[in-house]
Amino acid sequence: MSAVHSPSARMKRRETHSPRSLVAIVVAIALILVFAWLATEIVLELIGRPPLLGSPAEMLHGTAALTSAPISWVVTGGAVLAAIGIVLVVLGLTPGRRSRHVLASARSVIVVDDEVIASGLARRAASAARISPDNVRVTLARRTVDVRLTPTSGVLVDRSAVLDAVAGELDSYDLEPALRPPRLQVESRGQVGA
Amino acid sequence: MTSTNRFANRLLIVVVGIVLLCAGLAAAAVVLNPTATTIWNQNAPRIRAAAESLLLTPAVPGTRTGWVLLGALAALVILIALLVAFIWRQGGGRTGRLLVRQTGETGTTIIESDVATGLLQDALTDDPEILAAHVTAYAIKGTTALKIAVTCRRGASPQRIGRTIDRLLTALDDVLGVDIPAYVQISGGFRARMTARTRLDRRTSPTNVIAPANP
Repeated sequence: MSAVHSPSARMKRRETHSPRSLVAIVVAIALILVFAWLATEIVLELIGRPPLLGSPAEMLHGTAALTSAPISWVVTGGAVLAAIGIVLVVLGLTPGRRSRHVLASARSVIVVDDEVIASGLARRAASAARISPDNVRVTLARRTVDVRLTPTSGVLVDRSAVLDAVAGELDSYDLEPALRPPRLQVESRGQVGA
Repeated sequence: MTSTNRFANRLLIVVVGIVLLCAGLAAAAVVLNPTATTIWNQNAPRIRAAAESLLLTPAVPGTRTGWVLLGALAALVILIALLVAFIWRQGGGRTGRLLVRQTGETGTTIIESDVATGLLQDALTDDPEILAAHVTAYAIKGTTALKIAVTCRRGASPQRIGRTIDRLLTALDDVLGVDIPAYVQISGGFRARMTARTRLDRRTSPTNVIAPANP
């Protein structure tokens, strides 16, 4: 059994966080394009042909003449580069948690999408409140569960029964990260005949 | 499950981000700050001339070839190759071999992944609350693990489905004689799909409606 557990912590972490593959691929492609263009300019210079956008000498001239260029251009360009840079740094450093939770299991690593958990809880809440599951909306965050239900007009909803049912169902799932007890909100306007 | 190197992904993103951030801020600072502008104007022509002579001085007089420029070209080509390899390696790791075991001196037993894939997929799709099941094997950290991706019906209890899958996996362990590490992914795709909570079972009578049991 221990052989099942040693890769499991790593698996849990990997499957509940984004790998940032898409961002990394986009960045890599952008770098490839820039490097390919630079390499082309060098080759054109070496074989004596006219450059595409600027030969190495022209590029050096242009960089040195930074202070002669219109200030608004340089500042705008610099701001755009800096903004992209900040976005990339944030994307690279933040964990990128996915909306998933880990279901306790001794045999395997089980990861469930939050919407599946929510719909399971919604069905339980609906039966406890004796309304159609379409009138229940469950929202799941990392640690919180919010249940909103639209009661049938004229029929009282037993709040504690609903909360107990949902909390009981939630406990049986035994999720990680642990969720706080669910919060219930009953709409003041009922649904006729549902 | 995949062999994607997540650390490498994030490292590339952060490094490029920092370079862009510094370049952008530096450029803006040089033009906006008078002191910086003066320093730049004093030193830039000198540095530019030095760089130009470094790059463009021909190695052999009479030709256009400069060693440094050639070196830069080689470096760029290597970097491009590394980046292409980096993109290629995203998301791999599948394997067809589930288990390779040396059985004494007589030989080796090799169990293909299709064995587990077939057994599990058949058993899982029989469950009325499981709409689709996809089983693949991945090579991770020296061992092989199974990835079981299950799409379940709206309203299904993920706990019940998890228990069902665990039971099937334990049965598979008995068949194979060894515990295979398993990763189970339970998803729903509810917003995209329009399937009803109840379904008509065509195997018996057309009017037989099977609804998930109320817990």
